[in-house]
Amino acid sequence: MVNSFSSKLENKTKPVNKLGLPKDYGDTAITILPKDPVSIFAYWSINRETKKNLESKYGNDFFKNSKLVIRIYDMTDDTRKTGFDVFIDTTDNSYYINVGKFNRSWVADIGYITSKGKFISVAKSNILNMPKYGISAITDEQWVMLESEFEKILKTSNLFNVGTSSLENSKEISKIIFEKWKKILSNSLPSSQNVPNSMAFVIKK
Amino acid sequence: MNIQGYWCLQLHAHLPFVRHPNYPDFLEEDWLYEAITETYLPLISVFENLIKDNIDFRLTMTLSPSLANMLADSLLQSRYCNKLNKLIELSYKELERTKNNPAFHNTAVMYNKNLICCKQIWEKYNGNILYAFKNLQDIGKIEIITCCATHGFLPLMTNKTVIKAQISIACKDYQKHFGKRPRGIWLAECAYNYGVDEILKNEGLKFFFSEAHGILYATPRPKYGVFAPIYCPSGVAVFARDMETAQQVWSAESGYPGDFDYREFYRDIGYDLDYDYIKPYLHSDGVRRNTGIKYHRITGKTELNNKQPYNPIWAKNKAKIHAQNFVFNRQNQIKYLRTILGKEPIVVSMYDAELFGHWWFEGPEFINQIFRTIAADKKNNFTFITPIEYLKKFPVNQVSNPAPSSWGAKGYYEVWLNEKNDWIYMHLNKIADRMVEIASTNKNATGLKLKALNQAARELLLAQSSDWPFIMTTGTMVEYAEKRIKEHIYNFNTLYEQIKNNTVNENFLANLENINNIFPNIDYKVYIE
Repeated sequence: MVNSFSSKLENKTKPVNKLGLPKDYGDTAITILPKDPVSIFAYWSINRETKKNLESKYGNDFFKNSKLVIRIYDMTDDTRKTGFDVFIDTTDNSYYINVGKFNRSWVADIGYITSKGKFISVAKSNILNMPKYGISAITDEQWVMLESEFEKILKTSNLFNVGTSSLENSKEISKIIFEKWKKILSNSLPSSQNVPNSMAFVIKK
Repeated sequence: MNIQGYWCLQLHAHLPFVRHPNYPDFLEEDWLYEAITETYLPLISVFENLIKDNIDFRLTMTLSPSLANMLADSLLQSRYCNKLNKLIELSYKELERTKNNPAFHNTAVMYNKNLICCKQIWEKYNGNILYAFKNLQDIGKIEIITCCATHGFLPLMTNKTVIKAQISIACKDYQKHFGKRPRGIWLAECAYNYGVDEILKNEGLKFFFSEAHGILYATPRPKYGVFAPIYCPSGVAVFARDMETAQQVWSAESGYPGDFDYREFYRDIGYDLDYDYIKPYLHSDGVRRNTGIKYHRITGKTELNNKQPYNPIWAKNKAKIHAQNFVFNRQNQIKYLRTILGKEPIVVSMYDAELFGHWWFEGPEFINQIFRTIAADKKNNFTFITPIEYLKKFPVNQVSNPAPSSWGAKGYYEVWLNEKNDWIYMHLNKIADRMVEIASTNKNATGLKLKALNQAARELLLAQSSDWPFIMTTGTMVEYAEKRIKEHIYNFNTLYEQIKNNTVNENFLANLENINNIFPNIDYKVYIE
């Protein structure tokens, strides 16, 4: 069950012999998929036409003077809020990104950051609602429960084998749960090497 | 009998669609043949004997569409029958070989008897054991539920039309085999995602199962934890896994199947006996493999060559003791839950069906003894129930949004999405979009194009099976899984180009229709957006 989630950005080797399969499908597109509550798998392709258009618009040195980037936005509650950039190698076509926060929705743009710091998006991903992690703090008036009774049910359910999260109002076990949650979250924050905190930025609504 | 709660047993029977008519002998088809001999027929035998002895029982069982299509396939039926005949022949030879060796002879007798029993059930249903399960459902003993059409892993699919197709094709196929619409579904790998319940509702499905945190992490907080179902806002009910019963069976350390008296899986006469003796019962390549006839017990943590002889009577007794222990534990669990919940709990035990018999040889006997123990215990405080029976008895349940989750390691999607298999999703999601595209631009196809569109749908579905990325993660038979997924993607893309360019190659299509014949009545229009 939920013992730990992947804790860092991963790049990988692919030993699979993919003979007979296309390298890509000639699209300019990015797709994001959920691996666990804090990890996104992104894959993308940028076609020749897109690249040609960029060169004709921004000059022949465009690719020399810009960096390929995935810009991740928090889209929780359907509003675009904060985001961060992940610089990627032009030879890659997929990446695991740790978003470091539970229970959010995300969208990704793939594009280029110019030498002047301008971000030029070439494709936008699907919106990804991440799988839920943790016990809901919301209770139902029609199904009122005492905290102490709910704690007993959780213990009987072997919740600690499944994984736990913030049980905000529960005094007895909230501390244990909070510590575990904090540990998972701290492990899962993007590593400073791959996603410097300085790269995090705020989108003005 | 004062009923304080309920126990729901759910067995998930599924195998990926493996059928290779172009080869007379194909190794991976053994997955089906072994499961028929070791799991499906023994379970049918247990259920039919319970009926004969007037012992009541109830369980829920998935027969996944890909498994049902294989069980209904005449080529695989005839190949299985040949395999079974060969095994019976070997079991007679084993009687002779062991006749002066009392340590092994009783076990040889057991295999011979079991295999003859398999043959009798096989013949009783004329080679289509789906009828056996249908009969059991028709008389109210088991609730057969469906599964995603090819065990597609829904949370990693980006196209909603394609997710819907996995469900609606499954429901239609179920109707063909079992004569009515399914009432419940096992989402492949228990993988639920936001919005899937709405799709289930539109297909008339009343319930599905989830991993424990599918309910424990639901919003709002579930009053009864995993011990009562919740209704999704769509009205579809969710039943979640009880971890205590999961661990009693699954746990490698403390689970029942590891008992020293039980049969050792890894000692098999396919490896142990003289090569010339065993060769006629191996595959045509002559490589030593499992035959299913095994003479040793687990014994303890010891080397394979130190394993002691299997004793069928000891093992049967142990299965009975474990079944009694299981029932005793349920009685105490349910008694305790009744006091803390203030209502009758439901304890849901979910297992892969193939665990019983194939991996845990005594598993079917364990299930047999559970129901016999319950029947014999006049002071028993719980009874067995199916989800539908529970919902009829307790129609008022909390409404809450279940949490996306799976029953894989760590509870989410990592088993099916990691560096060993992630390359497949670029292709799977692309061919899914392409299927919707060609279906939507050919709404009234006829003739060859119609056939090509239907076959394209089959190729997409076969590529989507969650078994392929699972195998890639576990690291056994990886080459086969990669080959299968690449072939289906290639076949799909070739058909896609031919359909788009009006150049469908009749021979290419006919060959695929012959090999990949799952869902003979498929209608591509399910992919029209």
